[in-house]
Amino acid sequence: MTAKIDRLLIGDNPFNGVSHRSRERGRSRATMLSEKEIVKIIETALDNGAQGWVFSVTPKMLSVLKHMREDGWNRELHLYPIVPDVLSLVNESAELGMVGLLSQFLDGLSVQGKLRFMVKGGLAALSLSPMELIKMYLDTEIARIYATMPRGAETRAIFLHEVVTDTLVGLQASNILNGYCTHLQSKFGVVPGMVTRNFPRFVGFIEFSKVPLDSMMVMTPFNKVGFQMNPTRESCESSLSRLAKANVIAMSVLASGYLSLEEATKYLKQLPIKLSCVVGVSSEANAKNTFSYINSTLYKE
Amino acid sequence: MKIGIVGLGKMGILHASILNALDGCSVAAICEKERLVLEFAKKIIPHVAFYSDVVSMVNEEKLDAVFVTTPISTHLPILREIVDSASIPVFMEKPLAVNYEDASMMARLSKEKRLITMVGYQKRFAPSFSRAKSILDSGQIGKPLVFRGHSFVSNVFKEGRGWRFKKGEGGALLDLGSHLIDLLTFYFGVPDWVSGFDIQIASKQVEDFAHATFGFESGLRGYVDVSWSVEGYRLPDTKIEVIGSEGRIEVSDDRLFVSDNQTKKDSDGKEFTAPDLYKGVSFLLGDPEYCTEDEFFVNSIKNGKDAHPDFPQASIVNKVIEGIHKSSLEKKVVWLDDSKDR
Repeated sequence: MTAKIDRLLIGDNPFNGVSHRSRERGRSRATMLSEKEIVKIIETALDNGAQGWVFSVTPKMLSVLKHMREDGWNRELHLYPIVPDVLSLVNESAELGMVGLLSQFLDGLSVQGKLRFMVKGGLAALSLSPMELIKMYLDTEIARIYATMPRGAETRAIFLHEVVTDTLVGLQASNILNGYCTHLQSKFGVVPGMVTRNFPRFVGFIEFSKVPLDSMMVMTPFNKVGFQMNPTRESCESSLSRLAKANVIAMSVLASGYLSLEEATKYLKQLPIKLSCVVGVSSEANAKNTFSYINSTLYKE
Repeated sequence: MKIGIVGLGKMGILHASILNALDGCSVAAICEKERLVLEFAKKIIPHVAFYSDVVSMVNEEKLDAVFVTTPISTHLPILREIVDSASIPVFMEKPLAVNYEDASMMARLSKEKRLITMVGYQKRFAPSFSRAKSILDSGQIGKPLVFRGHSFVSNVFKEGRGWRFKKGEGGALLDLGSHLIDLLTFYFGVPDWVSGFDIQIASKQVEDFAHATFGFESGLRGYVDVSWSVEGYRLPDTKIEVIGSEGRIEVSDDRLFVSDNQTKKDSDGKEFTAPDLYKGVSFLLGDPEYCTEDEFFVNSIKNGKDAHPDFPQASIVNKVIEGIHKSSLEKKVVWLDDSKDR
């Protein structure tokens, strides 16, 4: 399967109250935007050259999708969800511990009748392989997305959150990577995607795991100041120049608002490969300005 | 360098992944008591040796260091098991222990065995907080006179489950506030006295909010608020503001602001945001400071040097937290050095 990738995407960080530049800024934004306002911002982005939406599968973003559906959305929109909702998982694991977290998930599945056996105490789960569990988790997440998707929307790829991707990279867990890719492609016909903040190491890991890079999508930071680029900006750039065919989506292109649109696009233009990019915006005016500028500067020949 | 990990919760997985990615380092063995987690981990990372008890792991593997990332109440017994089998460097996740008695015992053990030790107060290594340390040490804002700080997160709004909510093992001070208190001792040394109060909001056994005032021998005074039950903090937020004789500094997880006689000439002061402060790390997982602290510990071992905060330094955090609890209970100022109590 070859990945069909869009050029320009709108992100969701400002909608979730995330600003990598300033937590204070993120906090003040989060409470500001309603589902209705978020939909308006997405529409404006689409009007100005964006083709898809990258979002974490958080309750808030699912409720944005639901709002679209109930409001009669009927427009082409390519979805690029990121799973899992890591912040919730981290908070839950702090409270429940790993076994508690696993048991809670398995209990949920057995209630839904998806597991043939009871897993109370987790002992029966010993016969389960981690990959089976991950598949069940993905199925549940994808079902949640599909259940709320409005008309006109299509899921182009499903991304693994950077914390999961980079954990797999660090642990060199190739079997999980392979299982994840195969499952998404064979069961859902969806392109597997991965977010990473360690691009050179990630590329090495993919090569080691023998997954063809052109069958997947990668989302990773690329910006002039090297913000979130590891180990260095230069090494990320040189990894990029080694790849002939890769579907790379640049993120943090504005370094969380640190760079101007002009600086950001100038940098992306001189990279050895033309990358897609994802940008988050927090108002309609900002969406219009940002997406029309990037689209005309980078993607309209 | 061969590393062993004890406890495969979220912090164990984080350190394992980072350490395994560092040049010249590999996670050779993992010890996990929960069978379910152990069985899963074996299938995910088959190239690592797995154990269900610490003693066998330390005896059978020739490890260069052990990382302990288990619930706090197990830290002391696990340290005993390790040092009974081998004198190897030990990294403990924060806080060092549930109370000062255990913490000082661990500090003593580490000194007796001459271990290189470190406790996971990673905020010391965060780009903003470590830069603030250099600025304070350089004397750029003069002599520190007064500080205020906070550590907030919106996590606990109903009675929680697990050891973080058990009396004597958890609470907002140990879980969240310990980072802030470690930063204060990193910046200013050990306080002479503390006074404060702690109260329960959502929890029944542990505090959800604490306020504390600190006095230092130098004359420096300051206060902090700590709570995991305040609205509006989806991510934890730690902030310290210091007013010195020659200027002012404000530091949080992603921002640094300095105003001194020099910077005031141009504007109010100089601001550094996350992109200004960011430097690439060998392997980013979570925040960059996790990689920086792990690398620092590994390099300390390679060079045979002390790491920080080591067990004796980190035990002070436990002492301060106990002081705050005591002050709250007895409604009085608590001197941390008993000989100074008057």
